[in-house]
Amino acid sequence: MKYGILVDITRCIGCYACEEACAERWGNPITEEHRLSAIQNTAVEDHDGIYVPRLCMHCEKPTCASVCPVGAFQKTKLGPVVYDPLKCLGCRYCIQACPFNVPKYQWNKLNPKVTKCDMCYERIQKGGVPACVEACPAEARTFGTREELIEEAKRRINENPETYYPHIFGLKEAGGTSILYLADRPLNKLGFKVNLPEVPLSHFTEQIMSKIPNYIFWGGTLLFGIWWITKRRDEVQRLQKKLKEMEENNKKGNGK
Amino acid sequence: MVALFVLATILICITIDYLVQRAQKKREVYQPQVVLSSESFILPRGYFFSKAHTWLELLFSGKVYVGVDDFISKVLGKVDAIEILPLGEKVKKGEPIFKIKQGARELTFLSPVTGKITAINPNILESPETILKDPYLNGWILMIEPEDVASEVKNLLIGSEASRWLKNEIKRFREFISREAPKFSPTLEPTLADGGLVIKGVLQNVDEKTWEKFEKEFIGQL
Amino acid sequence: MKIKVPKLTFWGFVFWIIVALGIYSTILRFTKGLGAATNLSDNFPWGLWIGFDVLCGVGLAAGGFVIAAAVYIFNLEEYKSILPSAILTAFLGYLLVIVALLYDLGKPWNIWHPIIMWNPESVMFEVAWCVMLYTTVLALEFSPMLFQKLRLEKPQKIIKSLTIPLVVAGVILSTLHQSSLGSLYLIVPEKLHPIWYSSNLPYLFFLSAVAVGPAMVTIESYLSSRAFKREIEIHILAKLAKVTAVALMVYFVLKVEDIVNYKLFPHIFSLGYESLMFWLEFAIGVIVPIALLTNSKIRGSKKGLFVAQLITVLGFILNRLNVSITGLENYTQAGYFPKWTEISVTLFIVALGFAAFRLIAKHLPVFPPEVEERKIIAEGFEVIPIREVFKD
Repeated sequence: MKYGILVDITRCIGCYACEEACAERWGNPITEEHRLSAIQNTAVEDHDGIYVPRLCMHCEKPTCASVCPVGAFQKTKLGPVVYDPLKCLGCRYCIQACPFNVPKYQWNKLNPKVTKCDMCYERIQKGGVPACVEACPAEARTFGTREELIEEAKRRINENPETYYPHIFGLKEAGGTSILYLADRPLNKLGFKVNLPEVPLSHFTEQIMSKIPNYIFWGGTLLFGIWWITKRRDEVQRLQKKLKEMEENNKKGNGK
Repeated sequence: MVALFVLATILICITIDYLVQRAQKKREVYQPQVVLSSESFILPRGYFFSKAHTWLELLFSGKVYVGVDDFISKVLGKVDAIEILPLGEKVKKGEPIFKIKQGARELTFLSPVTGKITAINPNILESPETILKDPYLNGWILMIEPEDVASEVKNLLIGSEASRWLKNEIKRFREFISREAPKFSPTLEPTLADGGLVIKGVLQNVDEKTWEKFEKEFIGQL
Repeated sequence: MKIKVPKLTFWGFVFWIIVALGIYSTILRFTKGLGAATNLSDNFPWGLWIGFDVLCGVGLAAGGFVIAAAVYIFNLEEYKSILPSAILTAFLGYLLVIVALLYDLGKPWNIWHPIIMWNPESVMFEVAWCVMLYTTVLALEFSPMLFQKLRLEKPQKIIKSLTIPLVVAGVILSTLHQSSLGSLYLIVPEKLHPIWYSSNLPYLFFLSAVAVGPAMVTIESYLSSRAFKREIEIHILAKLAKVTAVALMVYFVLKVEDIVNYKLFPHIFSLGYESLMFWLEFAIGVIVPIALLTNSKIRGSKKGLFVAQLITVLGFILNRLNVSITGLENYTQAGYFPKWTEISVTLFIVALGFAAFRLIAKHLPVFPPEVEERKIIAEGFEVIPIREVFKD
């Protein structure tokens, strides 16, 4: 059972109730920045009067989890991608690699953490609903299993084709995400990068990473082989030289 | 921008370093050192000399640096190129090992030891005149790994023996010039009133025959 | 009483200024955090420390494995004389990379975590393991110099018997490590500028590391010959330069293939920041070095070889910084320029490297015994005035 959130941009009224609920959930201060940051794990961006709620996409095959050297990110069975600050060593590869630019860093702390939305994992475990979904007065965020949400999104597009741009963002992007978006226009006009491949990004490193065990084996064998051959060649040369010298000495001896 | 900044920083460091080096070199020039003068010969006390006017410096490893002595650098006056047997070549004592060229003519020097050439002074190939300015240190020509150091050393001269021999060579050279010089070049007459001799660059002016005679008489035999 | 003040050279003076500033920046970094000491941001999480100290640092240490492979695997004895200094350079290089990481990591006290917390899917995990293992291998390869100095026979023998496995492990780890630094960027196809993004990144990184290894050995030989007043093994370095030339030629072919495959012509032939940076990198990192190093006359001259290899190194640095910084500027829209404290930490680390090399080279048998003190000193001359010869 994998949960997710369907974000319907056409319904968002920009009241920032979700931001406040999220700040309360994390104990963060309220700000007027309205963009994802170390103190905002969800934010409602204003794109020329269109309100776009942003939060971690909770990818099906998360890039952050793939790149983290110590596995501080985990895709849980319930859907949320969670972060373990105790494992983290602060290399910030997750921030560099995330195709949605979600993870943020506590740059000014001496024991800094990566910050991002965890879909209120604890509440979901107890059968609850994420704080931002609960707080939204306009039902712009719908919580449910990913399958339900996809059906719901399709239904909305079919029933109101003039309202929606017929694309569910997150269905296939970067291998699919648990957070899905509906809007009245393509999302690249709303600040999303859409040049994303449909395969998870980890696909690009898997190709090379999977070759490593083979490389170690064959590389090692090859190097030992070359070493053995060059050593042998030198030995043979040395022996031949010795033989030649001995022959010459013999000749000299015979001559006398 | 960052890339350009890093590159610029490195280039600035290299430029400053270059200038610092140059300034240091200028200062070094004023430091007292052994000056080669045209009025005297110098002879390092710890060097071995062969009778064909090559010197050897014995290193701790048993290898030797080889060069030409101050006498040769004085009488030559000018060097255009030096030709050396290739690196790794095995040489026998008494066989030709390098040539010093002056214009179209050359002097062939004989190897003072038997062994393998293990290094060639790269600076010498670029600026052969180093052997005139600094024959004993930076003017080394090649390095040889002798097959048997002990047996080689016996036939070489060192210390007072070398000094006596060199003095004798200078005398012999004066006789050689006064015998050959008047015939070919009047400027080579022993002009100095006190019996001295203009030695510097004498060979530059002599003709082919004298050149060959010099080669035969002074460096042709060990 | 007179106090003897050691004479301070120009670079000695600069060194102490760098150390003073470096200490200040270090204190700032570890008391106020990354935010206060750097211009890094969520848009630009990796800056000068990763781009230069780590990416370039590891690459410039490549001389160690290239020479070790030549000497022990290919049995090319002639390179043996430059092996100790190449190993020392690589060892110090890796130690300094670790030092730089301690500055850059948000939680440096967790640096050992990859040992027990595994994520084999992560390129960074591979990088972490390669750094750990290869630094260990380099320490072992370096240790005979220390044992020799301490006159410890037994450990010397043990290490000697392990030479070949150690060298093989070193070559494999280096290959993996050099290429995996390129693989790090495979996961950002949509962020890295197309001029630099390529599925060949790991191979390109490896090849340029092989090329720059000998180049660094050359520069290091030049500098140490100056510092320790010893001759340069020019014939060896000239031969090594061929390795650089060949690696760069393969690099050239691979990059041209990329340009064709990824249809980069519109990118590289339009006038822009990225295309100009690319051409600069490609010219001084690949084309000019190939042109210079294939010329045997330039290869054979001390100055020519040094200048050519210096250009190779500069081009290499430009390439790494282009991939790690220039290529990401357009995507993030946010500019990045290091804060002065970042620069000062980098200079500090480089200066420490120079100082450590000097110290170790002075006290351990890093340089081959052929380099012997010339005995001649000013007093060692006998001066024979010509007049005196004719007096008697």
